[in-house]
Amino acid sequence: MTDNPLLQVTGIKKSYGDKQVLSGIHMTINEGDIYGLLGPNGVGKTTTLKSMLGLVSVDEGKFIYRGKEWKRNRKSNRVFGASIDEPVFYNHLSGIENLRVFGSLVGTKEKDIVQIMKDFDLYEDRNVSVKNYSQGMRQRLAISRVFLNDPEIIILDEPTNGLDPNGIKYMRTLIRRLSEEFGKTVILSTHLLGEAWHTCTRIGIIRDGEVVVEESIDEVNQKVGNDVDSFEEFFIKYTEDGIHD
Amino acid sequence: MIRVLGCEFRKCTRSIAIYICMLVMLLVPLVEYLFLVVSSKSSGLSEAAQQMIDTFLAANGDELFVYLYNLLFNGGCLFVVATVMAAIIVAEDYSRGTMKYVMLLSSRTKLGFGKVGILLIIATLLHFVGMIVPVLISKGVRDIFYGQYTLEQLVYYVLIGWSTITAFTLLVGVIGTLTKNVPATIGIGLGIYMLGAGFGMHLPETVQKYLFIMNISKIGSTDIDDMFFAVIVSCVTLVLFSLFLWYDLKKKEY
Repeated sequence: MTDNPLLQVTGIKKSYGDKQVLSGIHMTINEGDIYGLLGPNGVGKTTTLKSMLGLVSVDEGKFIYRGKEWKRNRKSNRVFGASIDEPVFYNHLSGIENLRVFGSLVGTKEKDIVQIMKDFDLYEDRNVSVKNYSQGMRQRLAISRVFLNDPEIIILDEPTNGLDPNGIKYMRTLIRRLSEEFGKTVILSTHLLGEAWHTCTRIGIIRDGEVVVEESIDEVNQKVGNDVDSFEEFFIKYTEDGIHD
Repeated sequence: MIRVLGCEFRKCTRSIAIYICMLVMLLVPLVEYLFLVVSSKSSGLSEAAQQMIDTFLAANGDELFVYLYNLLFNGGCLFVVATVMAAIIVAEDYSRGTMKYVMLLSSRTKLGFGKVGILLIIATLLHFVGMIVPVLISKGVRDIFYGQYTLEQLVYYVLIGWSTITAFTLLVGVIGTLTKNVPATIGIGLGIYMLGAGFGMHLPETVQKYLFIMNISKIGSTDIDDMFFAVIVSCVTLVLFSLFLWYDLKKKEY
């Protein structure tokens, strides 16, 4: 991991009608980070990620990518890859057919699709219909889909949702591989503290549409034991009403 | 844009719905023709019914193509099939949740062009597949299938049919982006067809001629100027719906 800001999120605000979902998000993601965006359900994690991806427009604020203001354009799909919400596919198609359909949007070659399936242990089941895939296989296929455009930044929204303990362990290893083996910067949204603790190099805690703390996992480690007894307490300190004020 | 179109085409060719729709387009005119043949040989028909059948099969068999072609539109078959296909192509990606990945991997502009393009291709394909059986049967029954009609008139019928069904398909595509739901898109699409075709005929003729869906009543007409105007109305409507769908896909949040 290096301390080069790859992506800076500055003052992002977003409202749906009268409800303000994001009230000024500030984040700094360094190259090579596995950045954990933590927070209870419904605080704006997914909206933050969708705004980065250009899936929702923002009311205020901007994104700085490699020092320049970033706007969604024809090169955007080379910057971000994402698996948002539940991993969804064309269920009547096989795993490899799904990757071919999505890959055709970015011109992914057949040999690259085969390699991606091998990288994520799906090659043997490539011709099995996706509706017969287990939740773990669907998550791996979702990450395979992210690789179709070989993006710099990979965004994963609750990637361990619905996985059994073995699946969660596999996914943690896989996320670390994305950074260490493939050199990707990963932004991970989760409400599971153990997942962030075991996987991330840096965390941001979001509360009421704002990032209330952003620190490296080493800094958090120093505080755990001094200021607070556990990572859970550290999290609660910043997310429960009034406690951090 | 070609890639998005390729992706959409790939999805369509791997969906059983497209093959069922094509089969329906082949079978409906065939079944109607067989019904005419069987009816003509059965006894006990009223004089009027017998006369009608004779008109198509014997005395003026050259009308058979126009009759069968017209049936695709005024019988509603092509509208139903086009509604189902457009709903699947546009709304299913939203309701399934796959649209956001299509949006991530492609620019919005290209996505809009791709969806408009595939709807145009599918509507055109359905239209011309629907024409296969009428052409084959007409040629089989009478060697010259357009007989009493001029070639110019036949070209206009086909232009009216094609432009109206493609405009309607694009309209259903627009509904698909607004509802993001397949059953709702099909329901509203068919509702518009039934309202347009059913109540449209009660409107004053000056209003009717600007309603693209009413143009199907011009198939079989002999007034070239009238048919030319109908083609222009349908083509303008087609362009407007295409632009609206493209713009909506470009601007819509997921």
